[in-house]
Amino acid sequence: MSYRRILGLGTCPAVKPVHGGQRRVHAIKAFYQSVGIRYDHVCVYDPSIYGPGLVGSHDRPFDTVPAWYPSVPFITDLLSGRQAADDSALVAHFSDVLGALEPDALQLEHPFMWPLAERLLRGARGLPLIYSSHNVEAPLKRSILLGAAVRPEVCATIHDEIDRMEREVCARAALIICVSASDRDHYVSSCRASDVIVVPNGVDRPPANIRLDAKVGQVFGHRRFLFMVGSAYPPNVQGARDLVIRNGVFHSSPLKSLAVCGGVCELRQYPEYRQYMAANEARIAFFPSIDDDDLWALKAAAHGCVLAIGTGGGTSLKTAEALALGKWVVANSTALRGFEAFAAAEGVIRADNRADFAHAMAKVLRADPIQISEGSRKARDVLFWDRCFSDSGLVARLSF
Amino acid sequence: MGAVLRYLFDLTTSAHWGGPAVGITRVEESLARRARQYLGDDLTFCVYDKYRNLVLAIDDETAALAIDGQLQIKIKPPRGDAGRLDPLRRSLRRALLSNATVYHAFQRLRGRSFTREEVVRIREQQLAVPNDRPLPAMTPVELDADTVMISGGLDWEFKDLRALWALKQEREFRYCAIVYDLIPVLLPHYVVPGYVELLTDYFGELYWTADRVICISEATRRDWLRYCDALGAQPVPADVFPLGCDLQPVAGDTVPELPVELAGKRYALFVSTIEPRKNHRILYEAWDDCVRQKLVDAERDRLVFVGRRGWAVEEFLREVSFNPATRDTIVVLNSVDDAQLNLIYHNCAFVVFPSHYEGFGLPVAEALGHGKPCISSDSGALPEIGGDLVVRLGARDTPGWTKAIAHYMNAPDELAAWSDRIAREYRPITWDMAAKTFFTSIKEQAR
Repeated sequence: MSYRRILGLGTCPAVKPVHGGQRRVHAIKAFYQSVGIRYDHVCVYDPSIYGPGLVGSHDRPFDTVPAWYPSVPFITDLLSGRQAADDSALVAHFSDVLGALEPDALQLEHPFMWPLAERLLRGARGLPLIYSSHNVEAPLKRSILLGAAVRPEVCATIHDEIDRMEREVCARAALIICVSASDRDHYVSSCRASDVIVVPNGVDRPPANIRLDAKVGQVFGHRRFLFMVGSAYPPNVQGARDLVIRNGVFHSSPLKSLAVCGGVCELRQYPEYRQYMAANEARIAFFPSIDDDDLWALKAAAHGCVLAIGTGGGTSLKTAEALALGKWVVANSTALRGFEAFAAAEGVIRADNRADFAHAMAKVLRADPIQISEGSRKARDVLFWDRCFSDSGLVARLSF
Repeated sequence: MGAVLRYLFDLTTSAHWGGPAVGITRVEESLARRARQYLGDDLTFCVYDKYRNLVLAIDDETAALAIDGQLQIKIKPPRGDAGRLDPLRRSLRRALLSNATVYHAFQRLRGRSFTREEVVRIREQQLAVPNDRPLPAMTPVELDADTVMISGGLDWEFKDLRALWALKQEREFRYCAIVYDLIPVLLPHYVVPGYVELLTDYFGELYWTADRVICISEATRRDWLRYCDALGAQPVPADVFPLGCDLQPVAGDTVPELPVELAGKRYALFVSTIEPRKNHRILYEAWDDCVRQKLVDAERDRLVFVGRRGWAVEEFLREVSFNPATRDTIVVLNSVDDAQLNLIYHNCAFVVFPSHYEGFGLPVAEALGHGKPCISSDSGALPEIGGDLVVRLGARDTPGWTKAIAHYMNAPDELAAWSDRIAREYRPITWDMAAKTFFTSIKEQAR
């Protein structure tokens, strides 16, 4: 016997994947479909981020701010799980979905929907739970909140809340899927989980035809430029502030030489950027909203990739993406977490402080395009989603 | 060997300054006076119009007036908001200058400090010379690959290096700049707030704009090359030329007198703007120890600070003036004219200079030029001046400074012998010598 139908439950929709968490869910769905498993995903989402056209018919908005830590930023995921469990209409809605789809398992994406999942599982005795971890969330959330100047005692309370939640999920789960060996070790040692499988974050294979984007030519001409992509997720912005723009971007002549894409473009609001506004504006081109085709066009034309992540657990999809491109990569150790096997790969430069990072960016811009060896290219094949799943042994775990 | 090179000596700073030359303006002026001697007919003086990104040639007569502080060339922005503001700024400046105290306070807010005498001189010149005087004829220079532009002024204020870089890409001329120090990048905590960003931006763009730099010391050259390396790029070649130190005889009929606080006293002298980088504090603490331990004679001996009051020293000066051990024994003189300063030098026992960092350290050269023994810190470029004619101590070695001050305050014979040796062995670098090194380097590297 094997799972034929799985219902995923999370805090963000998977209709049009943009950020890392969505892309992982999207990849899981694609993999499940490829092995004959139907995967439906439902969520309780933040309507200030996801508008019409980005959500599924069964998804429901998280539309009020509860009194619980109303002034603390970056915890809508945690709050949405609580609210969903306390809202009888939402519980009824998702119970109906569960009843209608009749899944063989419930898969929890992130731990935050656990309060709702727990209620749903109470009414569906014997339904297996798969915990799909994207990070070890408690320490990550604490570091994000501390970075946002939230009072340490509040950070500690929220950390403990998430930690407790994750332990309960692990205790209940029939299978845990996580993103790195270190995360697996955490679940085994700290949460006493027994069945943990690692599926690293990966990247889509490039499309067969990458169109040349005229915009890229307009901005960069035939000059070399570096590429950086990221959501507005605080570790991405913090990493860019600390390692890329602090003290000004002077790694190239005053012409556009760095493409910054996605929500991380909000770094323009920060003092580190504004302090050397003129120099930075001369050198950085921002693409805050960019579709996949344009993104591929930029990546294809880029001379190298910049990966600066301030803090965080798990592994970064951006890192897999950069390594898979086979171009120059300037990355800090946090960005390389989970990809340690590639830390010394051809073209990869690790830099962990502002000076080294700036030096590496400048060095790469002056270096010839890297031609990685066939061996290195083959070694990087494991970075693609299909290999991540097929090498993980997940299929065998889903069949019993 | 290609075509005949043409040298453009940039007088933008002197042209804007329009007053008595000090600091960097004095360097620009001293080199400009000697430029024709070394560059001959290949020289053209110029100013840079940052509003239009143009290099404008000026004739020698205009250049001479600008060098002498007799002419201020105010290049105006194109008509528009900025243009309409210019008369307002001019009115404000004249209003400020009409009250020396207010002008002094305003300049201090900008991180600049002038003695009362300098304010008076600036006022006389600014208010006497009509600012609306028509601009001299200035024609845009045809820049090309055989042009070498030489710049040694306050370029972070008067130039748009990003625009100049773009102009260079178009015209392919060469750009050579003087680098005085990298203190804003290396030791930003010692720089007036606001200037750190301005100077960091300047150096970041200078790296891309300059084909060559000329540093005022080996230490600055090392700093520059390290800075280039930190940018991860090929270093911009750097030469070194020393600043000149011509001790000018002071003109005037009045015979200067020692300040009353120093009459009949034996004193150690520190001539410098009073600001954290200059490290007055270590002298204060050393002196405090000397007085409390009776290592110096509190009735006879004095420590003298001569210099403008800079930034971030209010509490320090309050401490000096309230501390019972120092309030009568440390003398702070903020307004001293050149003639009086010469006399103060002449009568001092020895000179001290404990600065945390210097790109050159002109006061040490001046002390030796006056024939005075000097105890200096060993920071930055200071060890390059005077060789073993100077005693050197660490800039943080308070016990060392205490010991040295106590010793030399009580060793007049040793000081006399030291002065004799300075008189015999010290060869001051004149501006003629400095200019020769500078222009020889320019010509050699340009070809």
